[in-house]
Amino acid sequence: MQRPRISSSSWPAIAAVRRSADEAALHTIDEGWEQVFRALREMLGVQGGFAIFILRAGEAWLPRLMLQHGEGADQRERIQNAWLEQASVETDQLAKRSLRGAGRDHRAFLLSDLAFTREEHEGSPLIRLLGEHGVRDRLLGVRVVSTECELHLGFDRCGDEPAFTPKDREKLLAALETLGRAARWLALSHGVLPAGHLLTPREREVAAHLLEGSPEQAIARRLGLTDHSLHQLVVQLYRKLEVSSRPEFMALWL
Amino acid sequence: MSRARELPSFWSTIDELAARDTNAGWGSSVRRLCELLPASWGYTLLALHDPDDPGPVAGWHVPAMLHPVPEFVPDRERIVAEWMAEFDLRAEPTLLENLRQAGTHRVLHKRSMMGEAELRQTPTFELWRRLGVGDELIGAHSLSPRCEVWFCFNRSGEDRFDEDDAKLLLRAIRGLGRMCRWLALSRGLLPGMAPLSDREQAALPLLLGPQPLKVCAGQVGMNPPAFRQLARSVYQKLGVTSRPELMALWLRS
Repeated sequence: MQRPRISSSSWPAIAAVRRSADEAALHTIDEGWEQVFRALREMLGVQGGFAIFILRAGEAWLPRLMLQHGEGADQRERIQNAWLEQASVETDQLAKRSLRGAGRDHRAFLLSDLAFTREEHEGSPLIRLLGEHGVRDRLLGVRVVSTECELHLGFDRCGDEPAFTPKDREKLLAALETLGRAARWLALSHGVLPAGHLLTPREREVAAHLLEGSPEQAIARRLGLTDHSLHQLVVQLYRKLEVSSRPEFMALWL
Repeated sequence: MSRARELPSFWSTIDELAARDTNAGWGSSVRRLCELLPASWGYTLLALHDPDDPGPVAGWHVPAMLHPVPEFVPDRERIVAEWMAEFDLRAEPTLLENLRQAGTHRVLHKRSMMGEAELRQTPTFELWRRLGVGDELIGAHSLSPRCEVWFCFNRSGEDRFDEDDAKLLLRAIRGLGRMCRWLALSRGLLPGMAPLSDREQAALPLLLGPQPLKVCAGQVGMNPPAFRQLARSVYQKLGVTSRPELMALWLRS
């Protein structure tokens, strides 16, 4: 793959992605990631995108959680659902190629990096679906979070917007590298890590309060729950994250 | 190859380190920046401002000077301490001006701010002479207007830093916010905190880990009540009342 140089004028945008990731606080991780997504969108000049956590399941890698950001969320959701109905990560040639080096190498792809020939391009369910929904081009970036977990980020250009270039791919790849701790914190905050047991919105809320250091009684009062109900939620949360005490729970993030 | 290209992997390496390895992370970041700039050696200052203290440096103190390679200049600490005792900020207008900008990340390169003759009149030049330093580039990461981490890099002999070096350093340290905060926290050096003793600093990585206090005590060969007492003094100095509150300090921005 030919690797063009990132021009010096692009580095401030990449550094802005890093700063937003570095400044994210854990109890407000969703807001922190809004900033990260915004910095990525500004860097690439796109209106919206998506993030999917993919987990290793034996020899395969399976999507576990999709997050949307920016404009066009409904459209991307429709494309993803239609794609899941027609194809799978195991059978789609493009998806298979995007998973080379999974769990080991951060990577980024233009569609042309994944569909080598005209036939592959025309035969790809994903590219056809994108076309049907008015998406002109898609850029995909993959941030390895652990040997078992990856964060896939996708960005679309629609209508008469220009296609992505190899320089866009290199910028995204450099920016992905700067997201280490923020990506891990996002995965943990949804329960994608350590065990893939996704947290409910209520459990996420409780987790955010616990991560602020408050005692359970104070959290129960803040959430309008009895001490017993809150404790039940905490026990459930710890079970999903496979920890058995508050220090173990908090040390996951440190 | 552009040196900026190296920054993402530099930041990525910093992110991989656990909170209990803050010291190792800081040491490797300084050494990596020494390679990237390049610089002969580098060290770090933690600077705190006390608004009630007129002091010799406009209320600024340097409670910690950290060297990733302690012996890089033999006797350095004594030389610097002797120099500090005679130091007068009034003879350092560029430094005074720089301190007025506290609260923003910035670089200080004295050689690009004054002529050689003027530079030779400053106390800094005298320190350089004693240490064999030819030039110095400082990147200040501002944690708040009252707390800064200064990454200082030196070149020996006739080697000089230029504008590109300054840009690179500024960009690099802007992405080190969490590490700088953790570095200051691990020593109790944020405003409103009290500096931790060596024993307290040694206990801290255990308190940030998953083990119950009883197990932590065993790991450092202390009995549990004594370790609990040590933990309490850490909480008190960092302005918290419990272990979860202590751990939460590391998770904020």
